[in-house]
Amino acid sequence: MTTETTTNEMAATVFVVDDEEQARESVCALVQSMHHPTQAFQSAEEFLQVYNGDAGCLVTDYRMIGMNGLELQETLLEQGHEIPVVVVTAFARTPVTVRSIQKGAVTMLDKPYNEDDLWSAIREGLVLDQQRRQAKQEQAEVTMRMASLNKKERQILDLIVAGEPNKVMANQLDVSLRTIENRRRTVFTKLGAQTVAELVAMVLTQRATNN
Amino acid sequence: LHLENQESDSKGGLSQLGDRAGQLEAEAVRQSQQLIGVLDTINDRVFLKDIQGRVTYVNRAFLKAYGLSAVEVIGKSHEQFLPAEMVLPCQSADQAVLQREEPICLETNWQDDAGNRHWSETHKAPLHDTEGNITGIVGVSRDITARRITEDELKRQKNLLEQIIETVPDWIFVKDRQRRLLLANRSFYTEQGLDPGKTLGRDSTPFLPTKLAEIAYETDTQVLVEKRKISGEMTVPTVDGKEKHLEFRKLPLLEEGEIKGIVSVCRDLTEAKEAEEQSKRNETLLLHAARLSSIGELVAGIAHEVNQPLFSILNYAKAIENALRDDEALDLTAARNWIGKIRKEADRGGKITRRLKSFVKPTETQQEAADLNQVVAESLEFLAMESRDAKIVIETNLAADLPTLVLDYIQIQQVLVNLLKNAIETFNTPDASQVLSRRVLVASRRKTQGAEVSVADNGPGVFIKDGQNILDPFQTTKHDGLGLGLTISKTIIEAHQGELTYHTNDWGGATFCFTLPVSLQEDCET
Repeated sequence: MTTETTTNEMAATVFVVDDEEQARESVCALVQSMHHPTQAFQSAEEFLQVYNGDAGCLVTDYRMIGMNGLELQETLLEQGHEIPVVVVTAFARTPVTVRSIQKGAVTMLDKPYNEDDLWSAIREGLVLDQQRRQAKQEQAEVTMRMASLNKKERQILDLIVAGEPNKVMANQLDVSLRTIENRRRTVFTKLGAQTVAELVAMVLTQRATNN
Repeated sequence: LHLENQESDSKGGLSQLGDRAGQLEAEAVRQSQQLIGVLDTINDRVFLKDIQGRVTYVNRAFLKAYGLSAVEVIGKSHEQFLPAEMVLPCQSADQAVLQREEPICLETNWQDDAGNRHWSETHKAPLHDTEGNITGIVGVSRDITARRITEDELKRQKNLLEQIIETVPDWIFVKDRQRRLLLANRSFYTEQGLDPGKTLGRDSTPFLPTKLAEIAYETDTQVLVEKRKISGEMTVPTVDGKEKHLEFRKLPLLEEGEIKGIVSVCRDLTEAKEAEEQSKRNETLLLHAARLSSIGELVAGIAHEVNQPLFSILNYAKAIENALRDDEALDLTAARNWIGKIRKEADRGGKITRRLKSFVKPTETQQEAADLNQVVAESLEFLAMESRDAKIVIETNLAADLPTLVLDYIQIQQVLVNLLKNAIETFNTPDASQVLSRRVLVASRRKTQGAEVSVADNGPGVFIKDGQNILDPFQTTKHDGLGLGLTISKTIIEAHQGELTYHTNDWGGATFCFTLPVSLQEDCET
């Protein structure tokens, strides 16, 4: 499990947007020294043209000719991209920082930053992206499994989550206790759950997603 | 009027003789009457007195002068008819004439009933008979009132002139052709610590400090030789080791076309010079304060500029550190490349701080030959971040054939930073919200006598409030400015003999324009 996460994170790309060549190249050098692939862009507009939701993390300068860092963040949100963003700026004005963080930036870093701040932020962004993507994948799996249940099995699942004992279920549905026990086993198998607790968690996740 | 009858000695002589004597007597009477007639026509007063001081004769002018008739005078002594204040001087003069038996001259004066004073100059002499005995006094008196008034007036004017010369703080002094001091005022003596008793009537050169003496000698000679007015300035050391700055004027002293000497006027300009220098220092301080203030307003852009290379350096350093940590994957080529970049970035940072330092340093005005386009380029770097934030790309159109100008680099940079800042900030005003594509154009052009730089924007244009001149101090449309920027810019440009103007351009925005002439430095050598 841990190994798998690391591998996924390793494959993720760090996108660097900065209109200043030296700043852009130096961030790429830092990321490459940590064995991560990088892609550099000299403007927010250029990045938006290319980006199609790939896994990774975005490092952008705040002050740029054309669209600035904050505007880039807002545009990405409008387009439904959830990529974690690290904003760097050489002169942070508090209102800009607040807005940037509100729009979901991982952090806003002052140039020059302290010690390992930039890499820590990038790493945090990559991990966040990985977690988000994994959570999404798990949700998709649960949805798929739920869909494989038939109407009768769905009824049993709802009653299990409601905490009803088998006897009550049998009475309510007017079937034998054995039938209830068989259907119950099928539900556990189809959803790949071991315990009632796991089952409850899946249903709650599903409800949250649907809402 | 008549001469008092003298008894004739020829009385009772032979008839012929008597007739003859009678003829002679008649002739004498005729002559005396003629003489009396003459004496009555002259303006001088004539009188005769006998030995007892009784008046025996006065002419018409005498009676007129005192407003008397002959009856009031003849046979009387002077205390009986003269004004009281004249009695004593007349009496002592008469005594002197009689005692010493020689002529005397005296001046007397008296006041008439109308309050006017009259002056007389009187000559008195003894009268002798044929044996040489004194028989009386003859006197001729002249009214010298008019002369006295003129003399008094002259004296008064001379006195006034002397007082003025004495109180003037300038040194005023006159020398003859041999450089002997004929006249000098108080300032001349006190300011130079000279003793009038030792210097008046002599050549003052030996008493002066060497340098001053040299200049004095040369300039005096020049006036005498060239026979014309000369003027100039000189700096001479003082006794207490300081310096005195003097302005002088010398002109020939002419009398009927001949040069009789030299008139000199010297003014001490030391304090005026000091005041001028102080004001120059104050101006330098003001310009410095204004630069500091504009840097304060540009701090965001400057922080960005300074931090940019530091950011890169930090990234490269971290990258190298990471590369060195896992040595199995050590990429030496990359690491070397990164070290090179660090060096370059450190260099860039150094340049930025040096430029910043020279901009905020309190420097005296410094004239140097400079490339105006370079000043423009460096000024643009100060504004790079401001323009980015305002989403303006500053366009440039710089002429390649600009003459080399002699200017104060930092001050001209200050003007450009100010004009560029104004151009960018014009888009922050509410009126500018409709401007879709923001433009600022900086252009330089060659001019016949120098060069011109213009900063044009397509903002809402110059907003003139109540006809006030925006180049005047404290005129501002901004919330956070003193309104000194343009005034200071104008001062700087005018100190360079240039001109700062503005107009509405074809875009409807404002154009600020300044000219700088090619300096004629080589002529300024003194």
